[in-house]
Amino acid sequence: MSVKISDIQYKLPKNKISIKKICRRNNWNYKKTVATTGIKFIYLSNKTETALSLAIKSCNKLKLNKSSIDGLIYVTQSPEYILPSTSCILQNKLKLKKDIIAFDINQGCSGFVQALFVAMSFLKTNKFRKILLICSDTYTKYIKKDNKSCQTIFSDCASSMIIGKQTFKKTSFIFGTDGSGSNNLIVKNSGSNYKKGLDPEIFMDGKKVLLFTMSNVPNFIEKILKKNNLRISDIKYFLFHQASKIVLDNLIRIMKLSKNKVYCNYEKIGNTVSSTIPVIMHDLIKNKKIKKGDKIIICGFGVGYSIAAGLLEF
Amino acid sequence: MNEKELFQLIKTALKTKTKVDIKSNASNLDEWDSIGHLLLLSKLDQKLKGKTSKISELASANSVKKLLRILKRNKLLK
Repeated sequence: MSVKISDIQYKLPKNKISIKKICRRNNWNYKKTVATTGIKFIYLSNKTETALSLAIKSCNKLKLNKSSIDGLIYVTQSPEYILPSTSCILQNKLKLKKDIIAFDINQGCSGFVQALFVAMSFLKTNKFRKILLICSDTYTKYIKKDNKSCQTIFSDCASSMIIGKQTFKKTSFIFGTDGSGSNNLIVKNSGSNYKKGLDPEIFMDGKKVLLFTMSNVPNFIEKILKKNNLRISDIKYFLFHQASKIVLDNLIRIMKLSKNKVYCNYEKIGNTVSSTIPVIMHDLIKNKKIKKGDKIIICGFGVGYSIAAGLLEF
Repeated sequence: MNEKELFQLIKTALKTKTKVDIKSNASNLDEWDSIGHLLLLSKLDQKLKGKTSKISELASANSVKKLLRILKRNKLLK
């Protein structure tokens, strides 16, 4: 198998909170919440932890040959500053070479798939040996205490992956963007829209995001299968962004997928935004569930709206 | 699907013991909160075999009257 467990790692904050506790504290219906989201635990960064500090901890778990890294791609919507880009800070903190390319990708749930495509494109030029791809977010810092739909779903996490030319035997990607949904998952009072005295605050219209997902993801999967002359039966696993139980259950229903082809881990760690897919990949590789020759489809979707799917052959 | 079936679908989706009729809405049904609406959208799409997920205005249809109007307009209700 091409991907080694030493090449992909993740780091969750130490602060693990049960949804039961959050629901009790806010007088929310725990049974109904968990029956819908499927999420029982989330991880929260503390005041001193940032997406950057989690990213560094995740990278420290990798077997990183620093001299072989020619590029650093950092996917985040929790940047350390508006400028400079956090990837430059990371280059220095990780003591990577100075003659590398490093940049941030401001994407959420589809970010890993997009960044993987960028990394693979770089590698195909033969000017890069290895790319370090890091995803890290601390959405929970944007969530107000009375925001039920976000507080019961999102978790903080960083993931990191070393990608080389040999990592995958074959890759194929497709993408979609629909900015008409940009207001449906948004951090208000941020960036150029920051208003003095108001904290940045996340807002999610879960109903609209659910409809977007149900009406687009199945078509996307069909499209990528068709593009590669494949059928559902050719795919070992479908690794979807771990949005929540209701989202995943609907996708499985619409696409008539067998549940054992869809790996889910939202129950124990929540929705970690751009890290959900690398975290699943880590778990599958660690548990030796992916073998040489296996084909998997990864699909990230959400904030933007943005959607990206990739076929990966090991 | 007809009106009666829609009322029953809403009742099942929201898991409410309260009778659902033309006057029901998110204000007079405790179970019709944001999570309840997600369950409702999910059940509706299941019942109508994937024909409702493209109707984005269903996301803000917070009353039976609004649901009826949208579904009729899209020829999904008899």
